[in-house]
Amino acid sequence: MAAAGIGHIPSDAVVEILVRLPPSSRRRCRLVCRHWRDLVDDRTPEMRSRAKALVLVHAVAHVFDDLPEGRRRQLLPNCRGVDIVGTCNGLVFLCEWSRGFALVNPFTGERVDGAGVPPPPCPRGEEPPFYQPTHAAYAFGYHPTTGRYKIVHFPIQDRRTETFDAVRVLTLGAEEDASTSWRDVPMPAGGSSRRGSCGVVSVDGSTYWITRDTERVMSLDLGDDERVAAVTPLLPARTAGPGCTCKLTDVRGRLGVAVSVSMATSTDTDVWVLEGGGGGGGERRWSRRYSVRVHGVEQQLAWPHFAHGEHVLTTSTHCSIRGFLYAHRLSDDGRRRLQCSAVRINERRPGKVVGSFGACYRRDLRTFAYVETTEPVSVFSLRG
Amino acid sequence: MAAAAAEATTDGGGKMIILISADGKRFEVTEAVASQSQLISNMIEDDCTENGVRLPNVDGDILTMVVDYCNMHAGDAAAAGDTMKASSTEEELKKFDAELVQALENPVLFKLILAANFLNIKSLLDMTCQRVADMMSGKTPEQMRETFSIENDFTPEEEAAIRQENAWAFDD
Repeated sequence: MAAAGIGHIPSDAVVEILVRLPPSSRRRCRLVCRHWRDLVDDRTPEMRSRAKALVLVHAVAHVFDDLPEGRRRQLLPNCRGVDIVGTCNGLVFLCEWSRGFALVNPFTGERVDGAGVPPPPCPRGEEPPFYQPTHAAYAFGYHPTTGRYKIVHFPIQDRRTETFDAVRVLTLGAEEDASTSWRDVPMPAGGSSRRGSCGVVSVDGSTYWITRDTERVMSLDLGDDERVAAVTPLLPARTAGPGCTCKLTDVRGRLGVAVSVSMATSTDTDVWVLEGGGGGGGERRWSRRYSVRVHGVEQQLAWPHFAHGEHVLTTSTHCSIRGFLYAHRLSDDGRRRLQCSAVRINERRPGKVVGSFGACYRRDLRTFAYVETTEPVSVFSLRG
Repeated sequence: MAAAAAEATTDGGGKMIILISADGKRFEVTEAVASQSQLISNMIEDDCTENGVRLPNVDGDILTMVVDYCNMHAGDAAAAGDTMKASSTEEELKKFDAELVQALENPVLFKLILAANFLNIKSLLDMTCQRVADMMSGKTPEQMRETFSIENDFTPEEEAAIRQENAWAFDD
């Protein structure tokens, strides 16, 4: 009558348990031990699902089932005027102009309305859609070990200095007893600032933004111990100066920063990825993974997700008549880890048009990672 | 409950079968009740239940629960027209099932899964596995290891790599 742990249960029975878990929990089980990881990989269909490109344009969401083929379909046909804050594990956190915030699983059709999510910061006399897009003030993230989803709200900040003392965080309750309420998370001494144009990215359990002086990346840990810290090391390249811009991005589940330098007829963008650290051991360092040169054609990297499998996505810069989405295939060498993929975009190699849309500004066209899962939404409350 | 189970079998009709647990406890049940176990059902078909069915990896306590469960559920499994004393309404069954799994402590629950798996009783396996799945869904990997006495055999580097794979990153 030795104490029976689950280790004594035959693999068949463990598989029976694993298949009954929601997708994100099943993935989390891969972190328990090698045996469980192998069972999830070999005995459940979990790891066969691949992410697709979700493109938001004119407040309508489209999904591309198989890039670079141009087949697309509308993702949220019943939603009007959509702005997407973020996607995670198949869930989409969005804001509709008429109905406000909601957490949606487009695959299952489940939806939870977010009446308690505070409205975006809006200076007096300026309506939100005209002042800044809703998504700019929020982030939607997931912590891979606690399994918690969180919504981060950047409060009204000083428009001139873009500084603030705290961000607000809502933990979505997975259990009935969990308190779902907004919490203020203070900034390190002296407050923090955020350059809105650099974007916000949530990857691997943290939400990141760039300070106003574009000198450092700040991180908010989305685990139980929510805290804000400056990411070390500092940004890897010169981010200020004429023609210089930097933006955060998610490169295959890691934090990336894209530093662009624009010249008269070309734009060079280096994308650096933060390697190591995060409990994974090894020293944290920025490593250059993409070098994209756009020369003589009016294209720019798609945002906030430009890296889609073996493709890099770009959009047309001037879309006064039609806007286009292009896919550029990486050379085989570029698929190897730890190497820098060079992407050259010019008149000879303009890429493949995978989508064309009515007139739009580039900032109206945004790209995300989307995966079809049965991840439940109904367990969450967004009341706050 | 074992006594009640034995009682129910006396007027159930049909052939009786003796189940013998690892610690030698004997349970007399009807064929209809016992054949909810695919394993025993196959044995009945093969005519090898004459001298009782020995279940060397199921304890008496666990087998008591399994027999109770099978008695409760014999109604829906039995052939049409077979009115049995033990047959219950759907609501009663749900209540019985819920109380059965809610009350169980981990080691017992795992033993019940083992028994359901060994005896191949699909509905009982479903129910017990769902209970464990519900317990797991809000837990961190560390909490799961603790609950299930599993040792972490990953290096920190491997853990980081798995977290990245888990992110549905655009990779294959």
